[in-house]
Amino acid sequence: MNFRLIARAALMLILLGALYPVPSARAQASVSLTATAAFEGNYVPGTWLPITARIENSGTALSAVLAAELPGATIRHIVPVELAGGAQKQVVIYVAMDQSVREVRVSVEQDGSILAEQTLAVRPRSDERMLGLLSGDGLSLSLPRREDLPSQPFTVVSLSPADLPDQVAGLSGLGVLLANNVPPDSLSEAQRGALLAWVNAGGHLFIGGGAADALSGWLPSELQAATTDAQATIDDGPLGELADATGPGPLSGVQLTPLPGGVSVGAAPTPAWVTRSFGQGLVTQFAFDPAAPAMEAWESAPSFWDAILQPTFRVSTLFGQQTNIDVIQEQMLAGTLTALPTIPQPPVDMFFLLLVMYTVLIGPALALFLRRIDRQAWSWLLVPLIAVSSGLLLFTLAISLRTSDKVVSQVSLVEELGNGQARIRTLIGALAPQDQALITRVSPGAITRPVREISGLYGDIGGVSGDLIQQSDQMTLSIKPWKLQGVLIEQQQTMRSMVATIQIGEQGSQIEVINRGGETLRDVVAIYGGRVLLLGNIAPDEQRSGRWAPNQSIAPDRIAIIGQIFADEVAAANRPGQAANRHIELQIAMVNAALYHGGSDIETEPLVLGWVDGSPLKTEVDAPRAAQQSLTLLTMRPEVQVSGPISLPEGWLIPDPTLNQSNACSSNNLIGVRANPAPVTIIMRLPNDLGPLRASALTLTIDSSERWPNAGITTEIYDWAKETWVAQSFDGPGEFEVGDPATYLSEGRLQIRLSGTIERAGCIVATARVQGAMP
Amino acid sequence: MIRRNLLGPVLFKELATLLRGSRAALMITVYVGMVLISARLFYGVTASQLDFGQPLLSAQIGQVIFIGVSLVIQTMTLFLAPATTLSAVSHEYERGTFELIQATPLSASQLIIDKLIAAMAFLLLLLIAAMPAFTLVLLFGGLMISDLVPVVIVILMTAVVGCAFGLFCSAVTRQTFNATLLCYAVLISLVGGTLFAASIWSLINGLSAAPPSLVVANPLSAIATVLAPIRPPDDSFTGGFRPLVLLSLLSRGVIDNRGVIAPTYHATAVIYGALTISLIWGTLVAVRPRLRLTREDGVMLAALLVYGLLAYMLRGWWVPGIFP
Repeated sequence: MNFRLIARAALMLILLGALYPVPSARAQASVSLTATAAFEGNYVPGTWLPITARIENSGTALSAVLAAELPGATIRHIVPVELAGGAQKQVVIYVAMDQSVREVRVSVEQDGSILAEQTLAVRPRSDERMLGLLSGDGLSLSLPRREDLPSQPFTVVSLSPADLPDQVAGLSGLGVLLANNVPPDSLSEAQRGALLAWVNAGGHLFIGGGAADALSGWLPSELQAATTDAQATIDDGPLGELADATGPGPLSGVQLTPLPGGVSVGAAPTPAWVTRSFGQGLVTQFAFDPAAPAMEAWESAPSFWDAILQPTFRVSTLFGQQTNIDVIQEQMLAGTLTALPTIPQPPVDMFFLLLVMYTVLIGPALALFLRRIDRQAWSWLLVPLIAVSSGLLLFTLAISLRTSDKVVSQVSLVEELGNGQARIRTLIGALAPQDQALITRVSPGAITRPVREISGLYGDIGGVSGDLIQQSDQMTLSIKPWKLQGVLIEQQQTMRSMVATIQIGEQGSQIEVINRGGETLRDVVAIYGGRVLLLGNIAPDEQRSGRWAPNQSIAPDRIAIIGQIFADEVAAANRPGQAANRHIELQIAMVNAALYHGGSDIETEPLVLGWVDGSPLKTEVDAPRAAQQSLTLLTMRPEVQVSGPISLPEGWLIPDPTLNQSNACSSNNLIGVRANPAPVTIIMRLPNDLGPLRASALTLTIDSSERWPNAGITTEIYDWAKETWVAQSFDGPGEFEVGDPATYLSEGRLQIRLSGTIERAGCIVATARVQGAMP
Repeated sequence: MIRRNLLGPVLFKELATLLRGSRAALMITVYVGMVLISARLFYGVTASQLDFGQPLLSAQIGQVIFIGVSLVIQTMTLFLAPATTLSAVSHEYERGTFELIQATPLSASQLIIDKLIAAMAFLLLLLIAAMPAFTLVLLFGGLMISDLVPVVIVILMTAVVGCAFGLFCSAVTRQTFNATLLCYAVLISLVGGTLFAASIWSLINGLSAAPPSLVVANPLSAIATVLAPIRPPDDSFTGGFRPLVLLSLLSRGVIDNRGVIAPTYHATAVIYGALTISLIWGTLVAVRPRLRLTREDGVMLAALLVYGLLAYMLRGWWVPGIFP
């Protein structure tokens, strides 16, 4: 037997086998995958969709990844999964739904081989009202049918407490959430934090009543609109008014007492509901049970729910109408990434000096030397020799002195929500001249997605592509050459970096800020009532106080506030011949994003801003020889304490930006209401915390942008107690004292009506000075 | 140091005398100095973009300096190469030594080739002397060594054809002054005229990019097409860097709207090769005392034919440079 031949044949077979690899086994029987999309697969394009995957491994222990991707997408979301043999695991993966698609592919993969996969059917719900019904025992409402509504039909998703996402990103698709009969302590700390962050970003939370303990154990105290007292019978008048029909009849419910800032609808002391703002969003607390039999049987219930179950606002984004400001805010932050850091230059002058010395050496010095020894022909040898040796020396020096060849920019927005919770969004942008894979350390539990393409301060930025890992402390960013690409990292965390309290009393307003974080808070700013107070740098554990000046100028909107905060820096940068300060532009853009409102540009609630260097998510890009910059903006809403008699100058009681939104205007840096058509109603409001103020003196100043008509004007103010308009002896313009102001200023609201020939007046602006005391 | 028996007598004499005196040292100093000054200017222009808030990578600075310095070296080579040979033959005529040379056993081809080699050697010396300036580019990065090779080849190719052209002008006019006039008039017409023609074509045709065939003979356009792939692809990060604007001007029509760069320098190389052979042949004819066919004509014709055949066989390599 020719053993050599057999050996050669065997070797050939082995080689052939190596050339033709065995195709990857798909859907191995030992691993099974069952995936379910949240909200029954309904989603709003531009938001996140949580997908719960249950993975069972009946084989040996495996180390795999759960992957989710949209058809045609350039990125995949992946979660590493370690599963022992015979074990099963439930994993939640968040998918960025940045396209309108009808399916999501979910798979379990190991070393590039697909072990199990499933395609989920999903439905985009653009320009619809995504309504979540959160209840412990199932909740159904008599909602209008889709075909009965001309626009914004309801898409209803039922949620049990366990179904509620524990990240605010998971709630981003919901515009309205109605919670009723939620069992006490059924929501985790993370879920409560997600609720807080969701309302803060613009969500509208409705809370069913009917029982005095309906809120206990699950609702964060910051989201409470009213305190509940004894059982009571609720008048159905407001319901009928809203439904424009006969009400359902008196309803069994609880007595609600509005908290500061709460606005009650319905006759005191048993209003039908109380609405209170929190951040960008609203909380509406019902006194009655929305699932009560009377409500279910009410014929006009669909009209009522259609009228009341409205999102806080709608903003136009590149994905259509959205009910929160996340898309716009994140695009504003992404634009700031284009303000890349300046790369430190190598010692160029020293290098040029060396080259000049070389020029002198190879030119006149060599010529003089060779002439002296009468060997000019040696130049043919010496010139190349000197050139090559100098070149090698300079080459070595250049390589050793080389500086950064890539840049990484990182900006973070931290919103402290109260209850020790904070929402943190970090955006990272990287630019390199070659293909790069940058290892980035992140906080485990953070979710990531590519930045959306936008033109920023200094150019364009797009999103990264490839695999984006979740639930891991490390991920790889794949950067293409010469393209600024970015990623958004988001997480909710327990955090309390500063404690701030505003005290309003007879002496005016004062703020006290204590830095509880580990690093210095730089350039801390407090904003309240359109007034900006600069507090400077606050070291860790340091307490800083500041008082607003009595006649301080008012910044009526976001742009004016930013102008006041950065007045000195902008003036310095605008000097002739001065280049723009990129760092200041970056800070201005970040503050602009932080102050952005969906409803209006007016900042009515108190806010404290401060800067730190690192992100609380501990994000760190491992990029040797990269120029890096990192900037974090902290925002938080301070507690307001009001005591005793107080005197509020102009700027506190101002036209309500959300209620006057449809016909708002401005004149002389003041917010007003258009006088056309008449009669014009101006709704003025105090900040939430001053809502309970009982006014003892009220001086109104009313003026117009155009010429005030010299006759034919009737001025009325709404009397809340008598529920009627009361004519005032004032035909404007100018100021006038309002007699018995306590009946006109209720729950921080004042309504003025001007009728007659007022239409010619243009933009009507109103300001007020108030004196009073808190109960 | 120079071995007489290894070189021809003319080449030996040229190499021995070329670097005598202060002229050569001055030329080396000025050449290297000009490269250095241009590098410093380009660095200054680029770094000044920082004042406008533009994001800037060091690789961009490196690339802009490399492009700018390469263009400067090519321009200097273009006008310096003929200058090294403009007086090579005419000077012999003016001094009355040409008839003496003709009386020697030295053939015309040996004379011409030796003159050419001596001129090329000097240009090569200048180029080598200027090479350390490119280490400045390495300080900033953005380039690889492989990016330097085609640039050097194009510069050398320009030097060869420039020397041959200068030699031709010198032989034809037999007077240095007339040779200088003729040579630079043709060069300026070539460089400026082709760009002007391309601009006129573009104006007439709705500002569309002119065809590469109009600029294929332009040595500056040839090097521009070598340098074009090196520049950062996204101009929004480079703003109005002047060297890059110049690059766009010189490579007009070469880069189509898909960003594909036509290899015009391939066509330029083939054209210059043919031109070099033709110019050397013309020079050989011009220095003959009597106009008659010789064995040298046969050799040159054969060389031209072989070259033509090679060019035809390799047409797939260079024709896209003219007709993309």
